[in-house]
Amino acid sequence: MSDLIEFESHRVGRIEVPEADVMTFEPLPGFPNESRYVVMEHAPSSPLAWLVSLDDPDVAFVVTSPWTFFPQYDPPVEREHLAMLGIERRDDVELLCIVTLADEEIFLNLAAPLLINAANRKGTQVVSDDPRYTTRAPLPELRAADEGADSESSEAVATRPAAPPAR
Amino acid sequence: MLVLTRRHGESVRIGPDVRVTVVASTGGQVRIAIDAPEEVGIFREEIFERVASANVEAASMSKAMLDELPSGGASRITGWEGANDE
Repeated sequence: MSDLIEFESHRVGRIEVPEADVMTFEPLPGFPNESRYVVMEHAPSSPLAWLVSLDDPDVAFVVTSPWTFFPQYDPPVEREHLAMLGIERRDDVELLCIVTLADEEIFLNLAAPLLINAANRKGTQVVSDDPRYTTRAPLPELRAADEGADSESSEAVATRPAAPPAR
Repeated sequence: MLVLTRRHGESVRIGPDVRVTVVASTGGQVRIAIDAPEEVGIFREEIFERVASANVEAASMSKAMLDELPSGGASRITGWEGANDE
């Protein structure tokens, strides 16, 4: 049950995680051979976390809850995405967005968020052509640190249930 | 690569569960209908590629890069540069 997996990631270094924490993703576009990932915290009070591949030591993504930076974000999640992951309860929905650094600028991929079913730890990347969102949304000027301090939980990954599509 | 010719209303099966039907074609555009199980992802190629290249760019980040963020960016996003000393 509580078997520990040890893994040497070239991106974040050596990690040890309970096997129960491993998530199985539909392979992300661009990474067809990687499906097992874990979320690791970056630093104690950071809103950032790492999504680390357990299949390829060279693959890890920086992820964050989009609502920390974009409180109005309405993820382009469709009914079939929920069905694909077997999501039945709102409370089981976790959603993260991938962070990119380029030319010292920080971007969030709001067009293709990562959707996770916390109940069975299955995940997928929502590939959408929602015109409202881009894969490179510049981070707004926002005191993420202050918000983090206010939040009631100190979990590494702040998540919030995504509203299932109303229509 | 397999190349087939299909007329309006005709279909192609891909495996037991996926059916692609030509429903219209006019002026260089072809309209297709796809029947597939919910767990099969169906994407326009260019959108899939856009996400794939964004992922590839994002995956090259290392812990060191994050720690070395320029101070403006770092204080915005990391939250551990003296912002919350308690």
